[in-house]
Amino acid sequence: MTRALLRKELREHGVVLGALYLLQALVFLGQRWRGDDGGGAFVPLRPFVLSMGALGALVVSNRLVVREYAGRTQLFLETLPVARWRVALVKFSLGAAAALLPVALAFVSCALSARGTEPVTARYLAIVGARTGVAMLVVFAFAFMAGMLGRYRLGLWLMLLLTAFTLEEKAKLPLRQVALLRLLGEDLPFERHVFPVEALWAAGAFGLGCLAVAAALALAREGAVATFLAQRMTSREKVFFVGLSFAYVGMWAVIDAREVRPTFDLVDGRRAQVGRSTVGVAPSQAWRAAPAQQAADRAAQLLESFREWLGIDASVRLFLLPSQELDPDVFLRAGLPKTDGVVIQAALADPALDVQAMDAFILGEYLNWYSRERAAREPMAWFAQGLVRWWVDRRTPGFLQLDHARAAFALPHGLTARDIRQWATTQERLGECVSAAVAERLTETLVDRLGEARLRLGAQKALAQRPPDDVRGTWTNPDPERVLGEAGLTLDELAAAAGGALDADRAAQSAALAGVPHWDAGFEVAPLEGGNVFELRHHLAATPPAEGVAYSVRYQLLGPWTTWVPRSAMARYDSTDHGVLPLTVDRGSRGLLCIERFEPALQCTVRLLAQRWEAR
Amino acid sequence: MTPTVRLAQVSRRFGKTAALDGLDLEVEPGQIYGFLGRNGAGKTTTLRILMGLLRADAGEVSLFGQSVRRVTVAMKRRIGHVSQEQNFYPWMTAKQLGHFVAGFYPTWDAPEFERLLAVLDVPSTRRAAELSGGTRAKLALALAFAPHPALVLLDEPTAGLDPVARREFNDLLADRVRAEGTTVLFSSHLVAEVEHVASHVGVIQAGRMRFQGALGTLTSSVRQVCSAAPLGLPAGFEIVRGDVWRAPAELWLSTAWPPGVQVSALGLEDIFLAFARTDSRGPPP
Repeated sequence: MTRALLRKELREHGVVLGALYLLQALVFLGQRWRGDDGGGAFVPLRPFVLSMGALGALVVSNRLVVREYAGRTQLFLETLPVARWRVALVKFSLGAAAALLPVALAFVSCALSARGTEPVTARYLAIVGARTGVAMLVVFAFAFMAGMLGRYRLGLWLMLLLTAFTLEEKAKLPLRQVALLRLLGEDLPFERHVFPVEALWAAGAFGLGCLAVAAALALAREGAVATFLAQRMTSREKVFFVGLSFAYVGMWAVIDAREVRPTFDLVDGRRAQVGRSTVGVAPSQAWRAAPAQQAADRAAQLLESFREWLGIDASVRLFLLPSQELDPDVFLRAGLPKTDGVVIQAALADPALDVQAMDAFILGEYLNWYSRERAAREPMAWFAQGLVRWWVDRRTPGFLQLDHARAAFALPHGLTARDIRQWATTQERLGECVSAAVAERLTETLVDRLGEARLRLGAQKALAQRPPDDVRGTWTNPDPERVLGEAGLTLDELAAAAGGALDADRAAQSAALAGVPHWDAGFEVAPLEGGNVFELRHHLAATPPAEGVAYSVRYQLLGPWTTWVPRSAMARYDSTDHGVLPLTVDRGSRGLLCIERFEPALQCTVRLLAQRWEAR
Repeated sequence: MTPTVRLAQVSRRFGKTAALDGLDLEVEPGQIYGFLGRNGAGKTTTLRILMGLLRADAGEVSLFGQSVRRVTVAMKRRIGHVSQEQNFYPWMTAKQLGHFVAGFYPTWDAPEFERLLAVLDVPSTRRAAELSGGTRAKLALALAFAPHPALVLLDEPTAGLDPVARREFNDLLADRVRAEGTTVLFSSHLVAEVEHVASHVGVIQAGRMRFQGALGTLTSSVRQVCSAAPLGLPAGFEIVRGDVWRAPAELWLSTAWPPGVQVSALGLEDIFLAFARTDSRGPPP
């Protein structure tokens, strides 16, 4: 039976196959004759597979499948005593062999010409052979499946090409990273050692998927599906497909190509490079070149050691800009609408600059940028902030003690897993400085429970892989809770352990904490005459009582969709003892108001009140 | 005797349309069974189920005494098939087609195939695309009989043939059955053809079997009863359509008809029309 089928196929398609092989041979010999080897004997193989190999797969599948079904001769085959699966299998096997043959011959030809000119190892041949062979089989499997789709096959090919073009050109998706194209990548003739195992598996799985669909189409409902699909398109279908194609092309024509932002660079300035980390610092009139160079060297060293520790396999560039307007403990990351990178503004020339906080800010913003801002959002924020802070603190033991005192001050009653999960709320309640100290304490607790090696492994798992900057990134959202779970730790256990650590810290830091008075902060949304306009009154009192207590009020009106408000975006109003904010609001207005004060004993601005309000 | 083909309460739907609606059919070995029905009555669907090209939604299908859910390759080797439309490879000659089909039948008889081609006057070296419809049907018959099958299924094989070709085709069919005892089930809506070839008939209407049995039984059990006055239906009689009644042959002979009643025998065509027409004079529901 099989022999009869094979004989029939060869007799039916022999002439076309011969012509195809002749064309392929001429093209291949032409490439060789042009000497287009680009430095390796296997270089001509890649363009040959991409052009002639693909063409061969298309022609062979068209002859074997489309011709049979469109000519309705499969109805004659079905009346003969032969199983449908055998017919399909013979066609696929023969087609795959026919499509592979010229590629195999080209491969052998390249291998023979490589003898004597370059070292040809068995592994090298196996790598090139496996990549081209699997790729060809996958292309043929897809073409075979498309052939089974009968009258919709051209639509499928057209859609595939249009989609590939638009994704590459408009959405800037790296299609070359698709497993099949990776197998036939530019490194094909040169890769001698590494089997692209992942790409081979992925492409193979795709090919098997195509084969499964083709088999389902051939066998489902006694072959009626494939027979139905092989019928000519109706006029209505033709109009539908033409309309769909126009709509598709039109849609992409009006969508602007996604802009790839160039990397930010500082033309003038001092620059330092350590390993794969580069830091540029812009000197100012108040701040000369020498200290700028020192700052660049120091920051580059810091970045490089953190990059190595976290196992990030990418070059890093970061820029520091001095700003006289900023407080020494305030740092801002510049928004870069047209470029990509990390640019940080800080009071670099100020002798009171909080270096510890700045280091943590630099690493934190680097992580935010690298993780495409995922490190700044729940559920990753507490983990990323704590990791960075702990990593900076442990280089200077005094800093650790200070953060212990801050965390103990902020959370006299410990914390819960909910506080950790809803980190944005906790951060809003505690303020930046103290919440960073709490995050550090959580990380330190993790180190105590798991050991540094396991923490590092978890951090690498959660943060070292940069998510893609396209639609694939939407389902990339690592969760530290899952990473902890893999290490056998729950958030409840972590919160309980951190609570114990805070109790111990409170006892150990009692001297420092004794210097912090008990504060009573409050505010009131008070109606003015008529009752539709309100003013915001605030106060701060100490126990034991003190006169002239200075504090800052930070406030921001909230829109209907406002969730997280960064401190730098809030208005600031300095006051003493009590006062009224210089604004009035209408009924129904909503806002966030925080009362903060720099606490000398903790060397930190602590948030004494944070409240969302509504004028009623 | 075990029937070669047996369908019991077989149903098959295409969407909302019931092509077969509880069809019963039996073909005994060695019979030439004429399967009569209008276009769309379900003849082709029945034959496609028997060839394994379709599956029944419900009911039981037996071939060669074996109940089957799916017609196996081994069973197909015992079945010859001539379809309504010949979908031969257009580039193959009759000889090449014989070669190709031979690969699927262990019982293929090449000299017999050559002989059949000669008898049927099919040019063996002309491509299938160049053959006339009648010649293609005869080629299909040669391909169906060459492996000496136990059962041959023919789906309106002579539709579109001229009378001479049709007669040649039918004569050969009858010869083969006589010579080899092959069981033949052939569908047609050409009554004269069935009358000429078949020993048994089945009349299908709207997916249901209205009658099946020996041709003689059919002609002797269905008659036209004309009467000037209204006539009540005697016991044992059944109205086929209008004034065409059906009853066992003995009952027709033993019944004493009142004066003025005229009972006349009908030809197969009239009987078929009485069964197949579906206008307002049809049988009571």
